[in-house]
Amino acid sequence: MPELQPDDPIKTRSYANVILIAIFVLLLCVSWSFYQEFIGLRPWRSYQTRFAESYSAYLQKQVRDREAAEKAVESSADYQKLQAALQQAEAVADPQDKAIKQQSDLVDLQRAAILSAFQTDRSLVGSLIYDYEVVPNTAAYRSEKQSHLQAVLDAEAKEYSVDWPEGDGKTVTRTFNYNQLNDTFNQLLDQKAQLTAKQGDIDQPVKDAQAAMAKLISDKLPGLTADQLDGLLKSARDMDVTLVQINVNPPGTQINDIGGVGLTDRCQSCHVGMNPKFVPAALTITKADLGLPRSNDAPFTSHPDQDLLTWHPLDTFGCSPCHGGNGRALDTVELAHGRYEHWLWPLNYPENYQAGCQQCHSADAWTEHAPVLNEAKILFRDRGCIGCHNYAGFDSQGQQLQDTDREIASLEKEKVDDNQKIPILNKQGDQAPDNATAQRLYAEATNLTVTVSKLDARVEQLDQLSHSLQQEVKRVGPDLKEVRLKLHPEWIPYWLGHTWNFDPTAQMPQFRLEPDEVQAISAFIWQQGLKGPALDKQAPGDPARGKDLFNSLGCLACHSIGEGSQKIGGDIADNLSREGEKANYDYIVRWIHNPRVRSAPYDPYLHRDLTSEDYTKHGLPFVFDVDHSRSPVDGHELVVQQQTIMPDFRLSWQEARDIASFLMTQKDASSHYDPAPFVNDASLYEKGRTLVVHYGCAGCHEISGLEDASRVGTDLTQEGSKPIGRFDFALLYTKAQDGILPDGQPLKRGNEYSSWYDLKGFFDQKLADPAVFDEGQYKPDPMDRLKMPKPNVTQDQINALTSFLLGSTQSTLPPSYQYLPTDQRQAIQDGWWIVTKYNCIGCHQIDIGQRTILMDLPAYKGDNAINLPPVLTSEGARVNPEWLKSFLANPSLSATDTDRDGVRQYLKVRMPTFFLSDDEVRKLVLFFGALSSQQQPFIPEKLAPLSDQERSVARAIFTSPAAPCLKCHMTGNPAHDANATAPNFLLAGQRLRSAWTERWITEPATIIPGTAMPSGLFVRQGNRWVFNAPLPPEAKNYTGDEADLLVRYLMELTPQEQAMLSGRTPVAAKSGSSSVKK
Amino acid sequence: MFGDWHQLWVIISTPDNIPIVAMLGLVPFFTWYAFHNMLANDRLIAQLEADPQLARTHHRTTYPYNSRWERELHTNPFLMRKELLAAIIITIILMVWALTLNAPLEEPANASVTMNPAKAPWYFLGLQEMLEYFDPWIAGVIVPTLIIVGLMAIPFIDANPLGNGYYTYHQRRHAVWTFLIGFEGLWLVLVCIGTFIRGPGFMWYWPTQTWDPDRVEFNVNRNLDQIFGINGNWLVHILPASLRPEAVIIARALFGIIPMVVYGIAAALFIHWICMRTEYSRTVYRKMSILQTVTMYIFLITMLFVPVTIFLRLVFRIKYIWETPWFSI
Amino acid sequence: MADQKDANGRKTGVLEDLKEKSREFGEIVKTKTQEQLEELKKPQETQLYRSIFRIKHDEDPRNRALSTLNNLFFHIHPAKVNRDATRYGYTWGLGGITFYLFIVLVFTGVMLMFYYHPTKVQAFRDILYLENDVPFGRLLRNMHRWAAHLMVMAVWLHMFRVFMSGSYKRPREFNWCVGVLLMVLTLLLSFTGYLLPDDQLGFWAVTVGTNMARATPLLGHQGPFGPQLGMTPYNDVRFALLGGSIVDANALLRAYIWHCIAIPLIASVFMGVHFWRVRKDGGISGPSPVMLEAETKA
Repeated sequence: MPELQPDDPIKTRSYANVILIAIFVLLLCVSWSFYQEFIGLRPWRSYQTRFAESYSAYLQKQVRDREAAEKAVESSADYQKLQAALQQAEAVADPQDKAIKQQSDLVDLQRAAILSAFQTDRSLVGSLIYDYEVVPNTAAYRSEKQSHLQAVLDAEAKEYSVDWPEGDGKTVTRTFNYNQLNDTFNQLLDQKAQLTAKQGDIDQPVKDAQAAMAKLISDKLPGLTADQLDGLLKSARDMDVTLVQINVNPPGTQINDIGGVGLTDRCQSCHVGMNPKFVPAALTITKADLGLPRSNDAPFTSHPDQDLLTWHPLDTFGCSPCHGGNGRALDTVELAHGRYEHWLWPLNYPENYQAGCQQCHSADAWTEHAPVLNEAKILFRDRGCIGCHNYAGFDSQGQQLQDTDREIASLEKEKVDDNQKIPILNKQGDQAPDNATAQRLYAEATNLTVTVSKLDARVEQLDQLSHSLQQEVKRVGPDLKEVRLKLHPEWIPYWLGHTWNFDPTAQMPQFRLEPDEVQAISAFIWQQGLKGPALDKQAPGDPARGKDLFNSLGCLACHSIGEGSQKIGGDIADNLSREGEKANYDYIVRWIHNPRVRSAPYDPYLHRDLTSEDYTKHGLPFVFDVDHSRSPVDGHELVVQQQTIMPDFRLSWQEARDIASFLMTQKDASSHYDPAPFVNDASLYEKGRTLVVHYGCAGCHEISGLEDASRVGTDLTQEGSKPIGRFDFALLYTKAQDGILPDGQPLKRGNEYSSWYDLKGFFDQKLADPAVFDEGQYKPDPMDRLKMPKPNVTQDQINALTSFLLGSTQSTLPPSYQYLPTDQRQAIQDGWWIVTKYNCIGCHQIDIGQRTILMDLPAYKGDNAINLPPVLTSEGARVNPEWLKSFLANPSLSATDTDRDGVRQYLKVRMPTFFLSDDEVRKLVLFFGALSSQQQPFIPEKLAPLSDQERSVARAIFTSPAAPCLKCHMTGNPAHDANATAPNFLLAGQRLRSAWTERWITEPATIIPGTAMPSGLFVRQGNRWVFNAPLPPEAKNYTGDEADLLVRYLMELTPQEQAMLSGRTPVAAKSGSSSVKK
Repeated sequence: MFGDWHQLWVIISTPDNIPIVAMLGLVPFFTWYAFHNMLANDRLIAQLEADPQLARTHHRTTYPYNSRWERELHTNPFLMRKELLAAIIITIILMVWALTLNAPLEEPANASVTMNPAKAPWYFLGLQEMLEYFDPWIAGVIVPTLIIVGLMAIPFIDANPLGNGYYTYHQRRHAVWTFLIGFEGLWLVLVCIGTFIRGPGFMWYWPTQTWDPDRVEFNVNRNLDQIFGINGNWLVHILPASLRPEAVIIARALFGIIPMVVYGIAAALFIHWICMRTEYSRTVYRKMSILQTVTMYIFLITMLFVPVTIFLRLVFRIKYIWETPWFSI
Repeated sequence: MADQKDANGRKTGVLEDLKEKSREFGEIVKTKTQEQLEELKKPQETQLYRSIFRIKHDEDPRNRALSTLNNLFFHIHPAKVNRDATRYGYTWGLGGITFYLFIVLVFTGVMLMFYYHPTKVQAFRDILYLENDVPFGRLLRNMHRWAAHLMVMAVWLHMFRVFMSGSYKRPREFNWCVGVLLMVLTLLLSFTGYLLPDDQLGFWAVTVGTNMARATPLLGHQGPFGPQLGMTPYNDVRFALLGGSIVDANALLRAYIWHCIAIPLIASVFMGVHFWRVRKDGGISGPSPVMLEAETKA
């Protein structure tokens, strides 16, 4: 710088250092951003490294253990024996093998020796023949053709000399012409093939022995072999640290991704254990396996239910569609799991995992592998949630009925109008000024009559529909019209105010009612009850016999009895421990005799209950039941049954009295009820009515005047999609955000303290106590308070219901992911709604692995399990659908003798009559057929008629002392049947399917494990079943399939034949299975 | 529900609120620094005013001066190096900010789910706050237009030749105060109110008061005419029959003109009084053309109207001063 | 080539000849390389350097000045500035910082545009994509967002400084007006960008913002005299802003075009004017020597 002024502070000041530092800091920032990009925002890298380490260690141990175990097996006596056998087989096979090898080697040498000559000759001859053939076969070319022919012949005659091996290294020189070469070559090929086949035969025993050894190891040590484990170890050690991503792009996808552009799911980048590439389905690992039991940040377990992954393959479903979370984000656990304010699909907590199932399986009443969800759906109906809340798919018959009634009413009105018009038109026609007008008016009148008849037809159709629907409409709570006939008035207010004091397991929720509200409601209900007709007076019964019947008939599949730890039975209906305190004996007798009987039919068209006068006015007897369901007044369908799912056990009056007497003894001696004179106070009526409407009592109960009341709660079908802002946390808003529970305790989810300002938090708290959201608010009028009552649910049940609600979303998954099958599985889906509705699963096992209520009762434990109702897992394959239809309509299978079970009279537990609608019967039959993958419609297999010889063989088998069929199976002889444990063969012809029957008599335990039916009656010989016991000499030379023979015999068994044979069978001893099982 | 420091922290740490939080520090600093420079210059001015001899020879800045030093320096490197430094520092700030704080991304847009509170970006919160006090056409259209036009008009109505290119308070007191009141006293304060004070329902929450989306505010706002009980009874007698049913409305519309005119006059007098305070300002005032004077009065009167209205609303709960069927103020 | 013999009588063949020549060639390469490496020590002397920077960079005042004047980017500055104008305390470089932030925003914005579709279907997804998939995508988006905020802050503070130092006064009145417009454009740029992620935050901010337009006098359907002039939700100024009566796909597209094309273009033009006028109006305003009351014309 030429003119530097040394004292100029600006010019002399150097910024080099400052700029240097700034650049250095900038470089630091850039490195920081690189760190973030490659490490900070990629935590999965370290996860994968850690996984590889711990998994390798785990596998190493596994390999060691496995090798040791295999060694142990190899040193076992069994294995040694097999090894000896192998050595023996080898000793036999080896010399033969050697000889054959020699021969085979020689053949190879010989073939090699002539190969070159053969190939040369063959191609030469081939080309000469071609030359010959292309010469035209005409006179002009005759000589030429002749010369070509000669050339072929010469070539064929030409001899080749070959060094022909003779074995042992010796050779001789042989000459071959063309044909000899050809023949020899083919011979050698044949020889070689024969030798190979022979060698295979010789080696077979060795191979068998080796297979037996391998099988022994795999039997003794199931799971992966040491080699397979070693392969896994290698792949774990060589694992590339890399992003694992599932991309799915089905049309219309919105899986956790906006705008229908598909799924990007990277969960397995951290959850390495879920990756089948590293952890195959045959291996399941837990954190404990990896030595990380307490580590929070080791997301390394494998999926606990591998079956789910076979139905929902990872490459089409990924993880986040079912579990929630942000499948694309991997920066932090919080982001990836979507557990932040602005992600709409957060990861579900473990207790709510099955919410994911509901997203696509909302059309199912029962989803396999989703027990929590199934429980929730049963609870949702059974705890009366559907009484107030609409939910698509759940019982909508009431709604349909109302629509039908409305349509009938409007059609009727149309009919009346038209009918009035007809005479007017006719009259106008009579007075018409000219012929043409008259004709037109008459034609109009005629047309109207046709219209009216069409309307009639439509009304008739609707009446039939409503007949079916009337049978299907069920309410959770009892009919309150009959309250005066059934209950003690002083019990009602006590029950309303102290529901769970009276019955700690009550289905009915506890309403928040002030004492004056209780009185008003009681008064309204009481005054609204039917006052007649009076019930028949019943004589007292025998409580002891009643108790027996109660415990054995199957009542406990729905009802429970006993309190606290003494309680047994199902939760689907009331606990009856204090029944005697509340109910009238006469009413209970009628109820038990047939719970569907009503005191008066209700006419939905007239909106009132009919009386006997209505019937007498029309000259009809006061009779109303399923077969007499039309109103005498207007001709439309009446409500003729109680809308309860409780079925008719077809008991005699005496049995009903006995059970009722037993129930009347069920009371708490210390209980005390204040008299309730106010129930007759007419001034409370209006207030009571207002309250009953307000709280939606008519959602669960039938109440006079409120039969058509609609549900008072919100529709919950898509509750899980509601934005959080739509849920009213009221004064708990800040507490929820801070994670403080209503009781002041901090909320812990899993291991972490958490906010509960989310849908799960709301549902959990609302179900635990709906009133908390009123807390601290000034609501002087009780009617202003939140009206949802407190449901009677345990914490597990709350989790189930919360899962159900969380999954109740307007699904973001594409329609193709929804489980809405159109094939046979649709019948299964439809059927489960009915099966769960009537609690069929309380008695019957239908889904494999499903527990019934009865199974868990002490009375059916152990050997007594044979007294359980039949297992229905293969019912569709077992029975003829036509028969099943008639059985479901009338399980006694008899028009007169109804106090019995049609099939298994030897069981105390009895199949009751459910009065199913035709539609329900049809659906159930299709359901069972579909469960067993049966073709529809059913066409019975044509069975060949038995010849006399066959019949005698069959008889011999049937009555064989080794398997005396009639010893256990019923015969119709009461003395014998008292100890029988299996159905009557006479039913077989119309009831059973022959294919199933054959499988049943040969391998019953594979169909129903633990059945009393003995296995091993037949053994497989070649391709036929042979009876597994000595037979009389005349039967010995039967060469057909003996199981098939027996089935054909059973299918055409006549009562006479059975009676004739029953004499030949020893009478059964009740011990049942054990004596037969051999 | 005061003392909720967590709530305050949530507001302050919301990523999009960081700029206004930063402004809370930056603006006072720049204000202080401007005044620091102003006062230094003012001292020099006072010294020079007192000593005309010195004024003739003095280099007239407060910066170090030596006659041997070049009066002008090369841009490269003396300015460039500082610009380079500034660019680097800004980049560093930006990178650190971007690496530590993520830009917000909320739920996908959904017209059926209303945000509560639904707030504009922080720099427009002043306007949104104004919506609380004025009808949308004033707050959303007239006010921003006036602000822009008013800002652009400043150099044309500021007839003061002094203070051109150097900091001085003494020589342009009125300009400085006007701008401070407008920019800091109104605009930034309103932005801060919108950011820190307004919670769910755009209701008033004091700092550390918990935001409660369920809060209900009992709030009665009246119009000025209601306070005066204007009912138009006397008008009925004057009006033609066809207009009689609207007598109340017309009466209110007519009444509203009175306080507006009264305010206008009072504000004008107040401004005039301020302008006449010192000899120098009187000189400047005299130099202004009529157009300049009128424009200045209009803008200043309008600007002052904003705090007056806010005051009336917040303290006296007065909604409209002048209500007509077509517009209300 | 015929065999030759050298002085010593040895035969010199082709091979020897080649050896000799390559040795000579090696010498030349060596010397040249050394020479050119020497030259590289003065990069300013290279042809490449000169072709780019046009001038020799000798340490003399002329070259200093030329280095500024001959550079497209630098020549918005004069060759020389008032010595006190280089002090940071006068301007804080706020105008320059604003311009730098604008450049940063253009750069990051262009990068973001590679990944962004202004459609209802894709917009939000693209942001997720940027945050989780694009290399440095999150950083890019964050920098764009925060630079936008910083630019608004810088613009305001710049205005504050300009006012406080009286720099809007003659002859800079017009440039002040341009500056005011640039500030408005900055706010509009930031505001239009707010909607683009298509999330709740932007959606509702824009809804609140554009709802004000309903009330525009004369032009809005809820504004004074608007209905009287036939304004409805389907033809008023808000409809024009949003391309519809609600904030939807068209609004997104319009915001995108305004944000990425229209306003940056307009702002660039104004910026050009702004910088040009700074030069033409006599460079930056100060720090000027103070004036005294006595020196004003009465």
